[in-house]
Amino acid sequence: MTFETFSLLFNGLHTALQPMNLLFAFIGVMLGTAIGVLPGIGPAMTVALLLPVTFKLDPAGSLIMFAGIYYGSMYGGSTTSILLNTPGEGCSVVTALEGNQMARRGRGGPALATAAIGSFVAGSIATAALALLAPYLVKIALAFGPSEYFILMVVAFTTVSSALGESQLRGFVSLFIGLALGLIGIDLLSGQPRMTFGSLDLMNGISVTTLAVGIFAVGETLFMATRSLDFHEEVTAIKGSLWMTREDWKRSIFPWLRGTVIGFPIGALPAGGAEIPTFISYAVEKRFSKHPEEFGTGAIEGVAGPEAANNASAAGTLMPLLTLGLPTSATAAMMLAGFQQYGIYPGPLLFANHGDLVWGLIASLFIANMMLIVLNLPLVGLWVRLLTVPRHWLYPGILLFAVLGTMGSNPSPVELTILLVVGVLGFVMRLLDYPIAPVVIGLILGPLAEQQLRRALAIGQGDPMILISSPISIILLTIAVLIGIWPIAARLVSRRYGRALEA
Amino acid sequence: MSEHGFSGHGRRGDVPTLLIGAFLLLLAGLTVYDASHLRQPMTDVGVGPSTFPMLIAAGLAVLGLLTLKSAFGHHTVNLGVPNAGALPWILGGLVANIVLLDTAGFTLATGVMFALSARAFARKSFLVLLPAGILAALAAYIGFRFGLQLSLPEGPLEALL
Repeated sequence: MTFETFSLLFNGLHTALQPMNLLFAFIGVMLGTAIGVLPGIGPAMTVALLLPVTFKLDPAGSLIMFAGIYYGSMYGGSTTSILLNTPGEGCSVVTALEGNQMARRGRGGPALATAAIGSFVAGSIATAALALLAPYLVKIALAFGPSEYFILMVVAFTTVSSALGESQLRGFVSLFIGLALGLIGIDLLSGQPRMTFGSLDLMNGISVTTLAVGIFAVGETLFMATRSLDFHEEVTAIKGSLWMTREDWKRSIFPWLRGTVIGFPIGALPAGGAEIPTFISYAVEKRFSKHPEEFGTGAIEGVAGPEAANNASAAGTLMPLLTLGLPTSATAAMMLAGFQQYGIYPGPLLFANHGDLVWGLIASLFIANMMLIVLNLPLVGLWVRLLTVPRHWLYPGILLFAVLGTMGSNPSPVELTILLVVGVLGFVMRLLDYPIAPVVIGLILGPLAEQQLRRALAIGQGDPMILISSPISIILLTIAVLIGIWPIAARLVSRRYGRALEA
Repeated sequence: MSEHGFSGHGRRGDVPTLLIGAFLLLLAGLTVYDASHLRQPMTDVGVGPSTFPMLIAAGLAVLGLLTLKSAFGHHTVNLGVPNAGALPWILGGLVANIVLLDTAGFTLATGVMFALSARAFARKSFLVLLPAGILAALAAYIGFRFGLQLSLPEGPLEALL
C-alpha cells in the first residue's frame, strides 16, 4: 500500500518536474503571490480571479499552476498581514497580531522568514500526510452510496455555516442563498428549466467563477470604496536583517511542528473554518512559550505556529476535496470549480480514473512549496512595492480582472450583468456582516447534493428513511447535528462561565 | 474590520435586517412558485425536479422568519456607508461596461469602467484616468487574446490589432 503510494507519488513528481510544468508552477506561484499580497485579497479571491488564466492549459498544467496559485496566495496573504496591519481575511488575523509588531520593531525580515519556512515545513509535512492518508479515505469513500453522500454534504453544509461566521443564523442564510442560486438553470434529470422565469440567458445557470469573482472581488471593491476616503494604511518598512538568528530558529521549530499537528486534522475533517487552527495554535504557543510576556509585542512563536497551522490546514482541506469531492472552504470550492471546467469530478473515482492528475497535483504542491521559499524571500522587495499600489489603481485593476474572469467563461453582457448583481449582493452581505463563503459553497455543492438526494430517494422508492438506513449515514448525521448545536451549547457554557473560556 | 457598529433596535426593529428577512421570504415564495410549475416525471416515486427546490424553499422560509425575529434583538450589525458617493461611480462603471461591450469591444468598454471606478477612489481628471484605463484594458486584452487564446468581444480598437 505505502510502497504503491510512493511509486504513484514518484510518477507524480516526474510529471510535475517536466520543464513546461515547472514553468506553470513558477507562473502560478508568482501570480498567486502578486495578487495575494494585495491588501484585502485573500486566497479564495486570488484563485477565483486567476481561474481564467488556466482555462486554455491542459488539465495537468492547469492543476499544477493552480497548486502554485494556491500556496502563493497564502504566502502573499501572510506578507500583507506582517507588513500592513490589515489582514485580508480571517486566517491571517493571528499572523498580524505578532507579525506586525515584529515588523514595527525592525524584525520584519525574521517574521517573513519564519512565516515562509514555517509554511514550507507545514505544507510539506501536511502534503505528505495527505499522500499517505488519502488512499485509505478513498477506500472508505468507495463504500458510500447516494444516501451517505447526501448526508455527508449535509455535514459540510452545517460546518461551513456554523464555523465561518459569528452567528449561525447568518451562516445558514448565506448558504441557502447559495443553494437557491444553484437551482437556476436546466434540471439535468428532467430537462426542465428552473428559476429562469423565461429567461434564455439563465438556462445555463450561474457559473461558479462569475459568482465567486462577483461576490468576492466586486463586493469587496464596492465595500472598500464606501469606507472613508482619507483612510490611509501604513506599510511598515523592513529594517535590519532578513535572516533569522540562531535564537529565532530555536524558537520557531517547535511552533512549526505543533502548528502542523493542529492544522492538518482540522483542515482535513470537514469541521473546518481556516481561522480556527490559527487561533488554537496561537493560544497553544502562548502557553508553551518561555517568553509569554513577549506576546502582543512581537513574539516569533506567534507567527511561526499560526502560519504553519494555516498552511497545514490548507493542505488538509484537499483531503475531503480530492477523495470525497467535498469542498470545505471557499478556496477549495474554487479548486473544485477549476476541476469541473475540465469535466473532472473529484471523488474516490478520481484516484482510480485520473490517478496521474491527482498525484501530479500532490507532487506539484511540494514543488510549489519549494519554489515559494526559494523565490519569495529574495523577492520580498517587489512584494512590498505591490503593497503600496494606490487604491485608485488597485481596485479598478481588481474589477478589470473580475471582468476578465467572467469573460473567460462566457463573453457576453449578460454574464457581466450577473457579475454586477452578485457584486451588489456581496456588498450588502459585507455591510450586514453575513459570511460570503457559504454562498459559493452552496452554489457549487447544492446541485451535487440534489443529484445524490434524488438517486437515494429513487432507490428507496421515495421513502426518505433510506437516507438514514446505514450506520455510516447515522454516524454522519449525528456529527451534523452535533456541529449544528455546538455553537449554541458553547454559547450557553460561555454565558455561564463568563469570559473564562477566552484564552 | 475595526469599524463594526453594533446596534440594538428594540421594539422598532433593525430595518436592514427586516429587509433581509423579507427578501428570504420572497425568495422562498419564488422558489415554491417556480417548483409548483414543474412537470413531475411519469415514474414519480415521490422524488422529482421539485423535491430539492421545495426543501430549499422551506429552509429559506424558516431562516426568513428567524431573521425577522432577530431584527428585534440586540445582535444586528450594520457597518454603515460613510462614503456613499463612491457607489454610483463603480456601479456606473460596470453598467457602462455592460452597455458598451458589444458595440465598443472589450478594451474600450472595460477602459471606461476602469476610469469611472478609479474616480470613486481618487478625484483625478478623466484625462488621466481614461487613457490609463484603456491602456490597462488593452494590455489585458493582448495578454488574454494572444497569450491564452481566450476570445473577448471585439470592437473598432481590437480590429486595428
